[in-house]
Amino acid sequence: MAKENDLEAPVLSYEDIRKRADAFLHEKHSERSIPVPIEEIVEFQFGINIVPLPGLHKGFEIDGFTSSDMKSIFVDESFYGNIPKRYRFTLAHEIGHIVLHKNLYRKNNFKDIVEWKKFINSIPIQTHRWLEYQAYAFGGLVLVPSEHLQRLSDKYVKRIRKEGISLEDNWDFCWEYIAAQLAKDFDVSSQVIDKRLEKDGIKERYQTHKK
Amino acid sequence: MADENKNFGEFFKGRRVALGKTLRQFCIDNKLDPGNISKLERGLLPPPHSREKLEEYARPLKIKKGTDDWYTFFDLAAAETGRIPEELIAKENIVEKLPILFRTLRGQKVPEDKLEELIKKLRGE
Repeated sequence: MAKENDLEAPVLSYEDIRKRADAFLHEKHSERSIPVPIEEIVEFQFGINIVPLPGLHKGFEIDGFTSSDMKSIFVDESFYGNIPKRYRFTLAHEIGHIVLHKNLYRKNNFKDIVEWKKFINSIPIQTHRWLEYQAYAFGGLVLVPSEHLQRLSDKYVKRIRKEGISLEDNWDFCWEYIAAQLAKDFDVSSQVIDKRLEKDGIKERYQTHKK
Repeated sequence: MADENKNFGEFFKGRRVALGKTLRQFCIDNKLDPGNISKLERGLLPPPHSREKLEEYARPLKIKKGTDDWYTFFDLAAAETGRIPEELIAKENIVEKLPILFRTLRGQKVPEDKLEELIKKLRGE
């Protein structure tokens, strides 16, 4: 068994990651239009190659990864061609690693495959999960900017009420509808929207009126 | 204006980016295979030998016949004729392409036996 290394994930709260994602959008996409053009940001602003790789998910359960030299992001080919929402999220997630964890990438100049494998095997599972969580949070925050989430959620709640439907009495059904609409607006999956609604306390705000 | 230090792949990519097209969009618009174009741009595939094929690429890149870029495009392709993909692949350091972190479904690590397979896959890439 490989000896665990002393690699430490940066300590970042969700609010810290929110600030980093905001700063990222301010710098790379100041107009903050949606859907956020993450593919263009990756290719044109970072100059990173996006490489479709067949069988990455089927064979390895990997959606994507960033090469250790940070010059390429490899993405499962079927997502690249057929599942744009998942593809976009994978890019945002990987950019999260580049923004939040670049020191980790820079520190590790492997001489050969043996060194690489030794390093990979030595990352404690908890650290790996933590680093992945941070990139996941960053991806959601970048693709779903808070101000749009707030504004559009209010718009859909208003629309539901205008139709004479009680949000409070049809809570789950209404939020399922709202999440589906938001997923289209932001070009992300409903799961990403659910997480963002929860983290921004949007449902909670309406919950206070729930019977 | 052509940059003489560029190789064919870099020149190709520079033209595509100048058009404001991502690789995926460029390939959709022109019915090209993104895997192959990506390899071509990164120098993992040599430029095509045939003039027709090169002209086929020049068209969507909006390289006009008789311009400096047109001649650069063909000159760079000619300069790389004879290089075989294996040589190009060997030039790239495989270690630089390897991941450090993996985006998996549950954020888990990749088992050791799969790491070996992944290396093979990237070598083939």
